[in-house]
Amino acid sequence: MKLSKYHFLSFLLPAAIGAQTVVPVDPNCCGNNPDGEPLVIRAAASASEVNAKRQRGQQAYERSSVSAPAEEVEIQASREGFLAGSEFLVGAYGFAILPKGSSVVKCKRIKIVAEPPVGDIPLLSWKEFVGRHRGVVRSIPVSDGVLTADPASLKHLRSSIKTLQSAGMTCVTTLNGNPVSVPLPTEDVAAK
Amino acid sequence: MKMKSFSQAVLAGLLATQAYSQASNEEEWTVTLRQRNLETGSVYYATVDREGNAPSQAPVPEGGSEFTLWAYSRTDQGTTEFFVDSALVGAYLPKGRLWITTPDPYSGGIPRTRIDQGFTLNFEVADLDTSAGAPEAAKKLLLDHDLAVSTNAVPADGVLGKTFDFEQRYLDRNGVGSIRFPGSNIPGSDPFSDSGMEYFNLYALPDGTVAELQLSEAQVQIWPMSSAEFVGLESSTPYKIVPEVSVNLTNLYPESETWVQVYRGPESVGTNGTRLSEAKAIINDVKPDNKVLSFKTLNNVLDDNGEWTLEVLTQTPFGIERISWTTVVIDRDLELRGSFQVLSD
Repeated sequence: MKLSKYHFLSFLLPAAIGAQTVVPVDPNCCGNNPDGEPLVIRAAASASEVNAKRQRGQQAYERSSVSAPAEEVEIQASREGFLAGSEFLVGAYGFAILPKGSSVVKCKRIKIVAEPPVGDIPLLSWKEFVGRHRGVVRSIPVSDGVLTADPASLKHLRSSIKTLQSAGMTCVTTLNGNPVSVPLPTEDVAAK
Repeated sequence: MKMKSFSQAVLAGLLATQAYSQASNEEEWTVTLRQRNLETGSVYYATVDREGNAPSQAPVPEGGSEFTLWAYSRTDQGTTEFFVDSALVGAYLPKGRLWITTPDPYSGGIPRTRIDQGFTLNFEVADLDTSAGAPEAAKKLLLDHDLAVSTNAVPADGVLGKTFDFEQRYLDRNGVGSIRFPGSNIPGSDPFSDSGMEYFNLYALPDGTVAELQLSEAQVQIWPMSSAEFVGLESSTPYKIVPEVSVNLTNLYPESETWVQVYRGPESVGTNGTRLSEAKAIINDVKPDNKVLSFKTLNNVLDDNGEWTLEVLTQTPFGIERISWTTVVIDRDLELRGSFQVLSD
């Protein structure tokens, strides 16, 4: 191996690098950070600076180049709460939560209320509820056509409801075993 | 009208997660997918697992379906619901998504920021029909921006006032964009106490048969700036013995650390001094908090005659900031000169 005539400098290099990294320790310096790295500290914004920023929200919209409506748009949409959009079937063994309007035939042995019951009444899934109240509750399976308001399908459903009105049972429309409300006029929903 | 306690709003995202976890652990929680047919209004409920995916069991019409995921719990006191998420699916529905980013990396629920820091509203729009013959509802989406101000002097225990309109805009281009707000838009004159929520909703416009459809929503929590006050020191008085000093800290930012440093000389922002180890404030809450720091051994630290500066520093996701400072003059020679005077007499 041929050594450079300046190879002795390689012994000095680590010392030089080390010398550059040594920072004199001042007991009143850098005490904030255990690593000794100076912290970047800035002054908190003043109230007047912050208030000036708050005035610039509208400018943010202008800079973004999104267009403004000619006049304020009245928003009609609002998300209905889950419980607010439900009805509650209360029987001897518990209660179930169903979409409002899915009980199309009613009977006196099952109460249908608009608010969830309070007290020691167990909450049951729809399938549990039907199982435990066999004899007073039954499902009416509906087709996709009913959900899309197909006239022939709705006519068929109406005739089923009429037939079941004399059975003395609460009937709930279902799709694939789960409760579903159907687009029927309210006069088609019968009370016994 | 949106009216709910501030802490409730803060925890909304967490509660959904909590509901999920409890659903698996104690089976006291139920998660239900609600599907609403936008053409006929029929509603379908299906109880679902806390995780997973499956094809929709009810048909999705051309006009679309709104899917909302709810978790609810049952106790003897009643039934409580939590909204988890929503999505709109339809063949001809424009799509839109909002999300907010802030300098605070908090990921526990609703994004948060401080009133002076601002935030960015990001949006992504797809499937707008910009052809000449397209109906208005297919050409653009409505962005609605509302505000709610905390009505309580202590924001952490505050109640949000009535939501009010701030701005409305149309998004009429497909693609991704953003709007950078340099500060919060919460109105008021005192950023050390003003706080609230900013709400953004993205709607598909009504098409004559259905009302506006909410495509997406985003919210951001706005917390006030922190303040500090030294108690027990007077800048105009030279001290032989430094008295006990306390520092009243107000509205310290969530997950922040606050301490006091001292250094010789007049105040100068950016100076790295000696951190006082006697007391510090660490906030591990999701809300701002107040603390008091007490220093009984300051006399040992200010060990030389002259002017000293004490600064309150707070470290937050926004960096390290000086929120208060004071100076104190130490002159221990006063007593010695007085003694010599007595001796010479």
